Amino acid sequence: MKLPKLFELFEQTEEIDLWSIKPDIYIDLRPFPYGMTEQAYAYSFGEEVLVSSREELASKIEDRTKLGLVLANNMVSSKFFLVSDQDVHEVARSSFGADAAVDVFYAGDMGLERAYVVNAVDSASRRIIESQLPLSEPTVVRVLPASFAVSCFIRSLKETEGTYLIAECRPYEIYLYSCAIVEGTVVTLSSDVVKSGASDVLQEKIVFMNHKAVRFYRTDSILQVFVVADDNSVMPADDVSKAVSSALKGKVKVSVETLKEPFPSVKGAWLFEKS
Amino acid sequence: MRKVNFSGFTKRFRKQKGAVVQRKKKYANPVFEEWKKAAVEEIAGRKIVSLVVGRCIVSLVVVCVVFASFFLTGHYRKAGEESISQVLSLCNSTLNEYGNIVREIETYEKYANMRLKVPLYVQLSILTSSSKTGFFIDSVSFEQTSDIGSLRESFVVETGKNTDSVKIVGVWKLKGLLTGEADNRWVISFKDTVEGMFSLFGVRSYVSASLKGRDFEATVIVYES
Repeated sequence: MKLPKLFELFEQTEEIDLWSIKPDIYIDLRPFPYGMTEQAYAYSFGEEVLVSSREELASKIEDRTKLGLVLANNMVSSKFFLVSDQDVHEVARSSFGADAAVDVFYAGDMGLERAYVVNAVDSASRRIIESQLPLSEPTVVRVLPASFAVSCFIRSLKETEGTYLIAECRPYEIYLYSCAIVEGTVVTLSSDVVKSGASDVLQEKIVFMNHKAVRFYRTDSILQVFVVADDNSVMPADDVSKAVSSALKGKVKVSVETLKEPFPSVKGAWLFEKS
Repeated sequence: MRKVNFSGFTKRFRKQKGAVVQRKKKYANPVFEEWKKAAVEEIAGRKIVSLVVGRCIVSLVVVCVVFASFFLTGHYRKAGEESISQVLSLCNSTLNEYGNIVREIETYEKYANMRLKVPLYVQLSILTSSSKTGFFIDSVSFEQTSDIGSLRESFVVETGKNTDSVKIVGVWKLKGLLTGEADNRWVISFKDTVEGMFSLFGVRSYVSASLKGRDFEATVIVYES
């Protein structure tokens, strides 16, 4: 039998497990300030986290470099599904369409229902991602939502319980993630981003996210808040903490912790990869 | 509305039939086919190489096992054949030995059944003791027959008697090797001694002997007149 035919046969019969391939580099595709450059990204080959412009990054990676991407939660959809009788793959297909990249992860059983994390990248997001990448034909082996990567980073430092909120303060925006742990797996319940008028909008969004977690996912209300910020954050960490406390005031006692870290997503992605 | 505490699920976790068992999978990883194509081809290539190498090794092992089986089977077959041949050879030699013994016993029986005036062992003693120099016997035979063949004429000439007029007791034929060099005098001496000895037992004898170097042949006809 000729090798190409053998290869085709192999492709048909053998499913390649992407988890057996480790990325060479993790890149956070959310823009990061770097001099006068608009398109600059934080990345790491597993050790130190660096920031380079798109052009500089192109010189550091090759076509064969296996990329791991950390994407904003509006680029990669990360949903928590509870399924009873249906096939989760059918549910995912009907939710995201045939041209999207969809993957399903079974988290555990919840009563009579099965809990899944369904992550998806649609074709529109794909075009944006490919335009951001400095390679014409990139080799991507891992796509993680920023909420998951940041959660992994926080979990390596702090103990999380029940439903928790993360406020990732970045130079251009504040990302909000409400997450929970199901059978040891981080699930993102909802996410949002605040870019301007942070102080007012922030409280509204947090209230809504808490409400969503309780009503929609039937989880506990938010009991823990982690504010991850740096000196370059769009809003000082103390102000974010105050806004959060104010938004969640009057219910149960909420603990608010501040972590100083400029690159929690890339670090969290590598922590997850090495775990 | 029912509230569920997520953190409490670890204790109540149970796997249902039909639930997807994810062994290696760590999380949902949505990657487009085109994105992962190069990596997948690389790992598939590696897997194919390992598959081909594995198959080759297995085939090689199978071929080695087959050849080893052939070799061992051949070896054991040959060894078995040799062993059987040895046993057969041993059986044949034993059977031959027994056959010889049986034939000798038959001969002895035949000799024992002969009712002779002079017993056979006495006749043999006469023959073996008639040489002054002694000899080694290659072969010796005795036959009760009246047919003396080519010796008939010489018998008549030397004894002056026709074979029909005498009773031939038997014919001895001897072949042997003298212990030392000899000439016709040994032959004459041997004839005289044999005839003299037989006459002591009341029978007569005619001896025809020839000598070639140290090898001799003799035919002794024992008869009664």
